Amino acid sequence: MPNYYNVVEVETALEAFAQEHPSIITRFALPELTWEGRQCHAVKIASGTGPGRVGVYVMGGIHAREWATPDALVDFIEIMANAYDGNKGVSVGGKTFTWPKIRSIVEKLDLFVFPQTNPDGRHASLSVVDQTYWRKNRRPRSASDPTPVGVDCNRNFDFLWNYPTYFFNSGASVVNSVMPADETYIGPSAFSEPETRNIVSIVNSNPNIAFFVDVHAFGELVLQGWGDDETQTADTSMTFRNSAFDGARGVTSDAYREYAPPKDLAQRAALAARAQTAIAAVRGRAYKVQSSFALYPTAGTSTDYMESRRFVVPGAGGIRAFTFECGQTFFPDEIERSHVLNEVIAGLIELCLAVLDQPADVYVRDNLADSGAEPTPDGGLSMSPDIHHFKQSLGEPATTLGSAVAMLRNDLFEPIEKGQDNFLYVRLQNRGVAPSPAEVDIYWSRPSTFPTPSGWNLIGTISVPNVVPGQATIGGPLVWPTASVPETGHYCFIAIVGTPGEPRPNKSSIASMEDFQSFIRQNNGVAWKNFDVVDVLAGTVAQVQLMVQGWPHQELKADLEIDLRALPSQSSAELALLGRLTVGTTLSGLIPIETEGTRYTYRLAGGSIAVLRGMPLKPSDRSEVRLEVSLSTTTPAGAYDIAVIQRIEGREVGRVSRRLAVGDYPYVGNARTQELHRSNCEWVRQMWPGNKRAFREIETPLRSGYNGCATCLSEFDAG
Amino acid sequence: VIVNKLLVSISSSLKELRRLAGARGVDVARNSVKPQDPSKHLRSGDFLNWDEPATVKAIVDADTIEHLHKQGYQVDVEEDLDALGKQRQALVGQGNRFAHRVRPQSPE
Repeated sequence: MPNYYNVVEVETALEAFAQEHPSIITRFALPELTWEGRQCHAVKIASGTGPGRVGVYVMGGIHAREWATPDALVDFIEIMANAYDGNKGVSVGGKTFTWPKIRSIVEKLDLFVFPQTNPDGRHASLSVVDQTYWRKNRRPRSASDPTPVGVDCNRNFDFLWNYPTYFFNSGASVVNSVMPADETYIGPSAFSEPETRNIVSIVNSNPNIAFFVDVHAFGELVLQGWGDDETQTADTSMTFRNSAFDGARGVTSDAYREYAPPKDLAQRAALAARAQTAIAAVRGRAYKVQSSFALYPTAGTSTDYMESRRFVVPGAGGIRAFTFECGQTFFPDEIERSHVLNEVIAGLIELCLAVLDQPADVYVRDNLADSGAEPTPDGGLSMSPDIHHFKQSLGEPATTLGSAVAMLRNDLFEPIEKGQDNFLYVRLQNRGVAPSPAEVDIYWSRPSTFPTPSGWNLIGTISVPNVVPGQATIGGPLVWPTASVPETGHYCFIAIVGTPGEPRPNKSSIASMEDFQSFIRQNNGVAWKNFDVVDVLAGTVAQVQLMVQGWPHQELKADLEIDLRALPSQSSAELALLGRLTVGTTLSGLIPIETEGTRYTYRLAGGSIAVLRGMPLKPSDRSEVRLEVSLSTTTPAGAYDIAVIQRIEGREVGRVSRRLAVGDYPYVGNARTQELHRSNCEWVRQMWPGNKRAFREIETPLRSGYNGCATCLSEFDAG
Repeated sequence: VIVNKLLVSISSSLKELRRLAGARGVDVARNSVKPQDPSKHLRSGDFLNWDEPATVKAIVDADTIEHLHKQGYQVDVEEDLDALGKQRQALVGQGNRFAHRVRPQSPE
C-alpha cells in the first residue's frame, strides 16, 4: 500500500488544499525553478489579516533522503485546515488539541509551510534504485557535464558559509566540504542554489516571521541554539561577525562560544520543551531538547542563518529557529512513518501554541541595527532612532514615523526650540506575541559624551494603550512646555519603557559606570539619543558643543575620539577644550594651535580620526568641549556624520553624534549680528563664513531673535 | 561498479567519533550520536565528555567498514540502504492521490 507522497503529489496536495480551504490557505509559487526545472510552492495558513500577526515558518525536505519530512508537513497543513474549517479538534496518536486551540493558531498566527524544498533530490531518492540515500540537491557537475553532483543546501546558507576562513583550526573538525563529490558540499557560493534562495525568499517577503522550524530526520531531537559553536550569553563581542575570532570557532569546551541574548535563549528553551512534551504524548518517544552544536560544528545551515538575520540584514526582525530531527531512520516503514508524522504534527501544533503564549516584550531601539535583543550587540548606545521631537504636533504620526521607510531612518526630528511648546514622540516595537500597553518616561539632558543620571530631567510620560507585535507603534505627543525648555538647540534624550509585565528599570540602581552602561545596553526598554542634524552651507563652519563628564567621587582617565572620517579631506576642524584636560595625554591626529592660557585649541584633518588619550577627569567633572568644523566651498551636498566618543578603559561610554546636512538653504543668518538674509542676498557673500548659519524655513530664526535684512527681507525688518 | 550503501552504528569514545566525522567515505548522521550507556550523558554542563563511549549512525560502503574495523572502531550494520531503499521505494505513490481533488483552473 503506497504511503510516501511522490514529488508531484506533494505539489498537487498544496493546490488541492488551497482550493478546498480558500478562506485560510493561500498557495504561492516560489521565485526560482530548481536545477531540474521544478516549480515549488508553499502555503500560508491564516484566517484574517492585519498588523500584529506573528509569522511561524516551517520547512521540510531539504535533505532528499529524509522522506517523512515533506509528508509530515503535507499532513500538517491538511489536518490544520480540516480541523479549523470543520470546527473540530486534532488528535495525533495520544495527543489531542481542542478546536479552540487550533482556531487560535489559525486566527492569530501567519503560518507559512514549505514542505518540499528540494524536490529534485527527493525525486531521485524516491525513485532511482541506487539513490535512496541521496542527500543533496541535483546541481549538475558543470555546464558541459549534466551528471548531478549536488550541493548540500543545508550548508549553503549565508552564515559563516566560507567556513575555512572562520573555523580553520586543528581542533574544529567542521564536516562541511568544498569538494563537490562530498555529502556536505557547500556549493560555489553562499545562496548559490535555487532551493536555498527559495527558502529565504519567504522570510524576505514576510518580515513578521519570528519563529522558524526546519524539519529533518533523524535522531528524535528538538534542536535549538547556534550550530557553529556552543552558546553563551555574556560576551556580546564573541559573535560570528567578529573577525577577531576567525579561526577560533567550532572548538568544543574552549573559550570561544557564540553569543545569544539571554532572553532569546530562555525563550527557545521553553518553546522547545513544549514541543518535546507534546511529541512524547503521541506514543511516548522521549525526544531530547539540545543544542544544535553537537558532535561537530556546522556552518551555512538554515537555522543559524535565520537566527543571524537580525544582526546582518538591515531591518530584519529576530527569528527564533529550531530543528526537529524526527524518527529513527531516513525512510521508516509504513507503521513507523505514521507515528513519525504524528510526532512532527504534534510538535508543530504545540510550538505554535507556545508561541501564542509568549509575553509582550516592548522595546525601543538603541540604534538602527538594534532588534531588541538584550544586551544590545553593537552599533552604539546613544544613537536611538526612536525618540522624536518636533516643533509642531504631527498630523499622522503613524505614517510619518511608523512606515517601513521611516523605520530605517534615524533623522526624523527637528531641533528643540525655545519660546514655544515642543512635541515628543516615541517609536515602540514588541518582540513578543501578546499586545501590551506601555508607559515611557522621557528625560532630557545637556549634550554630553557621558550623561550621568544626575543630569537627567524628566519631561513627562507617554502612555501607549497597545503595542502590538510586528509593527511600530507610535506614542505621543508628549508636550515639552515652553516654560521648561531652557534654550534652542541640541539635547540628549533618554526613554525608559515600562509595561505591566516588565516594569521600568530603576535609574536609581545606577551606582557605577558599569551600571550606567548596563542600564542602557542590558535593558531593551531603555534608549538614549545623542544624535542631531545640523544644517550647514558648504564653505562655512559648523559648531558642535558638548560636555565631557566624569563619574561622581572618582578620578578617571578617559580617551576622547573625534571621528571625522565621513568628511572630505579638504575640510578641517578645530577642537577647543580646557588645557587641564590635556595634561599627560597622548595626542593622535591633533595639531596644537593654541596651548597657552585656560583653553587649548587643536586642528584636526577631515577624513580622519583624532584621539586624545588619557584625558584626566576629576570626580563629577563637567567640561565643555567645542568642535568647529570648517567645510570647504567644494564640499558636495550631502549628509556627513561626525562623532565625539568618550572611552574609559577602551570601552565606549558614550558619544555625541551630529549629521552635517550640507546643501543649499533658502535663508542664511549672521550669528554675530543676528541678521537674517535670503541666501542670494549680496550681504551673504560679504559675511564671514564662520558666522553663517543655514535655515530651511524662516520661522525658526525669527522666533529665536533674528531680524530680517533691510534689503532682502524688509517685511521682517523690525528696525 | 555499484557499491551498496550501508547504514551502520559506529561505536567508540566521543572523541574518536568526532575525529571520524570528517573522514572521507563516512557520512555521519551527527544528530544520532548517543551514549552507549543510556543512563550516561555526553555532556556535563557546558563540556562534552570526550572519553564517554558513544554510538553514532553513518552511511558507509562495505570497504569502509573494513577500514574502520582496522582502525579499532566497533561497526554494526543496521540496514543495507540500497536493499531497504528498494523495499521502501515500493511504498512511494506511483500515481497522484491528490489529482482528483484539484479542479481545473479556467484559463486566464
